[in-house]
Amino acid sequence: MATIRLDMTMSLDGYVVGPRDSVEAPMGVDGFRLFNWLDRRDDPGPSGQVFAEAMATRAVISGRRTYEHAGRWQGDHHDGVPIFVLTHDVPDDPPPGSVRYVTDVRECATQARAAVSDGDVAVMGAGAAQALLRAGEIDEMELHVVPVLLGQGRRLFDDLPAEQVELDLIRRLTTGADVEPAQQVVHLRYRVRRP
Amino acid sequence: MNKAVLYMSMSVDGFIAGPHDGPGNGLGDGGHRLHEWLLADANSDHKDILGHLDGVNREIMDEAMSTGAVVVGRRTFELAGGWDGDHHDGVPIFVLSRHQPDEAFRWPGVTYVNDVADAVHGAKAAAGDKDVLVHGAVTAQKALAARVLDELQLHLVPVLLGQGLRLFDDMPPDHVELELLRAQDGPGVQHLRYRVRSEV
Repeated sequence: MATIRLDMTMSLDGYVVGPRDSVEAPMGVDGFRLFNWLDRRDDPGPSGQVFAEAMATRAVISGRRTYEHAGRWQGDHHDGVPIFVLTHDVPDDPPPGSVRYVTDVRECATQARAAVSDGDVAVMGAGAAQALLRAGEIDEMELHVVPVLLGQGRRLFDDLPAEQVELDLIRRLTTGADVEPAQQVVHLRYRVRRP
Repeated sequence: MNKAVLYMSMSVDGFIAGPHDGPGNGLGDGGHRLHEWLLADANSDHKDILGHLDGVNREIMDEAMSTGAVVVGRRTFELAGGWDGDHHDGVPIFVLSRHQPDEAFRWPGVTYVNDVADAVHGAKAAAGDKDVLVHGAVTAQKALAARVLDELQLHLVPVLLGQGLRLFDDMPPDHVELELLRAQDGPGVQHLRYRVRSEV
């Protein structure tokens, strides 16, 4: 069974991007602060482990904004795995590399599951996350919670219906005492309980 | 130096109460879910809750209940019925409010203060060498903005509420650096303790 796993770095106050994001400033004001933990991505230890797991996923689902702000990953997020970009408005130019455009959220999840068979799919971006959550298509969430308050920006969890979704913590990995505050992070993995 | 510590239960999507919170529905629709780790049942008197807790959850609540003063927003205070004037052990309560209270919400030991820094400083002085328990979203936001909050003890509950009252909302776009001091897993909840890095 394929697992569709949201994989997002968020500030303690719930932001994935700082204020006033744009193609020129893809992470908004101060937003790149969220990625300091990735300085440890090649180290042994929790941050290295979760980064390696993300890079072992066999497909990516991304929202359109995240995709564009990331420079379309030049068509290759990692290892040439299929990238399913959820968009209302399919671009006229042919998709680069392993990118495919999908307009329907359920169709997007179905195609991604088929592409990985028993593997994992990484979901990137708040827009895709919210659309997939509303459709009940997120199986797990790996949240990298960074010890910072950005105050404003783009929230990971926003515009969701007032419906309680129960989660089960599968794993918590936390950086150790050797890591300075600027690189600290709590990696929380939850399974989304089906009603 | 004693510290001002925010204690709040929060959903993974950042809510501390469900939608439509108000008198008679203090935690909003579905908001009681956030306190399940704490309460044996929704009708428990908050002064009797510690009896059934054990392990990490007990330890965290023991810490909260060993604070020497409370700072709370008026809305939270009134929705809780003012705890009949006694949050725990009769410690002084400082209520953040722009207005003088109704007769029904006056008790000895309860002081109304209209400035968050005055409230925290007053509470710290009253608490002696004990910490101060800070509670409520608006109070937390004001205390952070005024740079008088020292630590945050969040109880992260594994649920998405979707809508409701957020802990962190209407904040200035000032980036506040924190240090993770401690992460602990209790039954049904993750306890995350942070220090505000006032030096950066």
